[in-house]
Amino acid sequence: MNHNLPPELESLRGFLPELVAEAEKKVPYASALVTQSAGEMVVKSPADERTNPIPPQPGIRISAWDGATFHSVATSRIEDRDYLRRLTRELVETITVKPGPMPEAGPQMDKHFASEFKEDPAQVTTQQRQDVCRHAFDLLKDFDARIVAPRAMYGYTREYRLFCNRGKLLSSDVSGVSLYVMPMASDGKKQVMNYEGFNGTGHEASRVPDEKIREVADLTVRYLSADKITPGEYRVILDPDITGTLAHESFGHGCEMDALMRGAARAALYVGKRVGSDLVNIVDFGGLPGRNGSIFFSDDGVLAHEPAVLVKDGILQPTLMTDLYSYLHMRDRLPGLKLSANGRLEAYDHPIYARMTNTYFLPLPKERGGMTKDEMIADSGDAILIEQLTSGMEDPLGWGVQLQALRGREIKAGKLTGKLFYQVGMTGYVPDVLASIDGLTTEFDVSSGGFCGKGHKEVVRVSTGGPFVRCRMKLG
Amino acid sequence: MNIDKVKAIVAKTEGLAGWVLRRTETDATTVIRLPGVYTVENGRFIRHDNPHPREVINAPGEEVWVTVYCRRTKDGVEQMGEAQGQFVSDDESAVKATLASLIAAASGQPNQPYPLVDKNAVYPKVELADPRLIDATRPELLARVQQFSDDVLKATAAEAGVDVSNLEVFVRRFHSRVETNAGLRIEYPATRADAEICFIARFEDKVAEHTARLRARRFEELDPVKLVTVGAAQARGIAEAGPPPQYHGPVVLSGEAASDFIRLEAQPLALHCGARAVYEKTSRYEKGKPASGTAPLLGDALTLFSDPLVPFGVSSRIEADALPSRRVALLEEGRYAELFGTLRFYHYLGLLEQGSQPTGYPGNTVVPPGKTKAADLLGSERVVVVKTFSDFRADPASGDFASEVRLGEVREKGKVTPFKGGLLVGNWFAALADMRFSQETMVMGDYYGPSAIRVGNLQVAG
Repeated sequence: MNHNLPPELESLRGFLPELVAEAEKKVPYASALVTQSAGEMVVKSPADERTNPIPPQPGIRISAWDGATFHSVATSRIEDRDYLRRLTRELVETITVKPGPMPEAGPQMDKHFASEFKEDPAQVTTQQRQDVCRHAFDLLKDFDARIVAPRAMYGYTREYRLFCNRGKLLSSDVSGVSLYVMPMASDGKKQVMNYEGFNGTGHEASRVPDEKIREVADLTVRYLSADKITPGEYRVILDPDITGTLAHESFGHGCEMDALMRGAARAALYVGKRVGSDLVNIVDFGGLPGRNGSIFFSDDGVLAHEPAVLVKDGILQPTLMTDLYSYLHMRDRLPGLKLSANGRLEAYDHPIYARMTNTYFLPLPKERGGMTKDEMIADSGDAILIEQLTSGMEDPLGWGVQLQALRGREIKAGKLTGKLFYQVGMTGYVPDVLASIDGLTTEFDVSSGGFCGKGHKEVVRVSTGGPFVRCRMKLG
Repeated sequence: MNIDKVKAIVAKTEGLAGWVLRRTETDATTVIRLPGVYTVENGRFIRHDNPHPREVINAPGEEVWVTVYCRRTKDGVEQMGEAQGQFVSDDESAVKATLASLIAAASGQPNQPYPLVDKNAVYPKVELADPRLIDATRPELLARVQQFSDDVLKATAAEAGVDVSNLEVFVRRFHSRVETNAGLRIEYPATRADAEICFIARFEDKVAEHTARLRARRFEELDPVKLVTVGAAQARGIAEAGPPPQYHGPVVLSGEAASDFIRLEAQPLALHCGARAVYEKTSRYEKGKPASGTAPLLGDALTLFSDPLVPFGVSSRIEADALPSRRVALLEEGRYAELFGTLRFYHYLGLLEQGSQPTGYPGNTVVPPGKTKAADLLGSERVVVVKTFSDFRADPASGDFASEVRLGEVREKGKVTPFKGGLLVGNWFAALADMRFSQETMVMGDYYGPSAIRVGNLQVAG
């Protein structure tokens, strides 16, 4: 069967069951995971235009379970079968199997998955990508002389994954296309920067109307005369990306089972209890199609076909995000715990942890009080509309949260005044912030690109989103 | 992979103005331990011993990378481009296919020409490898990692109310061989011994976690007793801390917070002192002018080096893309001094022609000691001390920051009130006008400098 994989991976796919069988001569459970990339990146700035193929960085990881510990060997040398056989034998020969929980391989399954798109990015030429980049660059450059450093980037990535245990043989071909515009402006005294990203699975994601790019340029120039916000607590309206990142940093990281099992997430004490207003519904779902955090199966080989509902109507749910290790250790201790499709790794030679994928607030239907964005602004009296996330940081034990955004827009008496604040920091105590949520819109936007680290490392691609959310936070 | 075979194919390839070929053999050992597994009973965490590691990963590997440079004339204008790629096989047709894709990518780039590293380049001698790691057998390495993690757990057992909740140790060994079309060839080993240790403090209903991120090239720089003492104190401090104050005034950044505030990775000098940013006119750099702008200098003037030549420094390097690394003063007495950059942007700015040598990428952040004892930086009036941030980052363009405080203290009339949360708000460049540095210094990751910094006027939004 042809899975439209690169030839070396197509051939390796058929070989993986042999490696797993070799390992399972000695251990009760083994698996193999292969990763490889492809694609192209084009970046244009005033002094530089760079086009570069995405390096393949192939790697294989063979893991064996001894009843208590995963023992893994990982190498970039995927082409040498004899070497892989030898590594597998060496991996298991010193392992002593212990009594302990045993993974299940699951039902027999041989499946291949691929992203769907309108315009196949593999059929797009380098010249076409360069043209998209140059056009966006020119739009920024020509907008205003104060835009001193326009920058545009077209990214096309292809991420191949193979997973094999004695039951499953899975492969996936995930494609991603993004166009980022990143202008920097200066008036001779002050420098400011802006960015906007447009993400999808096919080349169509890069077909951005000129007007959108000019809006980014216009905001950049306006940042030069923007104020700093006076620190204090405000009623805020968060845009969907920031809303999703609030979900991600609060009960996303707080519901990763490997954090709970080591006593490092306060959420463990609150399962079944109220953690936010009854408007709060937080979900993580890698199977949401075509998003930056989308996966077809986890790196533990679990199909991403079921969302993990983390918070429902303000109540923390027991459906936590698990990787295989945390699931094995906790399934007998937490009745109802499921193995979810959240075991992910940064690279083939890194550990697998419980990680998020696409994390979002559910929107509020109109019949339950959901508003449009304009209605929410009109309903908010004095508030700040916060837009364009730059970063977030979690504190699952202390329940602090830090979010950074590029801009705030002043709302007075339910109307945008036109006043801008540049660089806004947001913080708060998570239960207070979530309890203060008193309005959501009906929109559902999970379109951000981005990455998440476990602390400061183990970076994986994710997306965040949801509706606009109104709450109270400390700004600075 | 037969690197000589790959090199021969690259060297014979037509259409290249230059190339750099790099092979890195790697051998990594990772051990992850969760010493305790917690369940919740009657609203309390209950600890269960978990004596076995979560995962042990052994990762032998080899990577071969090439950077190709191409020149062309288009409409009478000379242009140049470059592209970097990876060879995954030494099979001739595969090597040629990779080169063809890189040449296609590099040839279409409309950049001004620039010089490449020439055959007279001299590489600095920088110690990057711990001989006791580089020569160890794999079982010896694993035993060393095991011993280190046992020592950490033993030292933590002596800390009341504090546990290690997660312990990850990463040891990596590299052997690099770099060759260029100009006939340069250099080979060198390097090692890394990094650890991430999460300390959890629990006192009745108070609980907090502190993560120590330790980066080194030698195991001996990871002193288990010292790092447990510091990490446990941080976790205890966060657990016992109260809410943040509303505050405007002097702030002392201490330990990790001082390092986070000054090191190149998190502050805006990395952008503004880069030759690329100066060439693209996105920098506020003006040689000899105060980085703090027009405000009068009230404290110590900051001198800051990017130094990739520190022996065993985490951000030390011998070369980058075959370009020899060198130490560079970015600020001298508070004024902009040199730039860091590659041959390309040094050439574009005319610095090469003035006799300056390019520096390569940023190295370790080195700041000379100040004149004041750390204890005296606290002063006698009300002062906020920040010990750790959640994630300090200043906006690279403007220098504005609003970063959450993970652990701080308000000190007033001999009373110390710890707090957590709230945002420390200010502007990094403005802060330079009123800073004082401690005599005492520390090494933290790639930061070598004062262990405490007093900034005259910042705001805490509590």
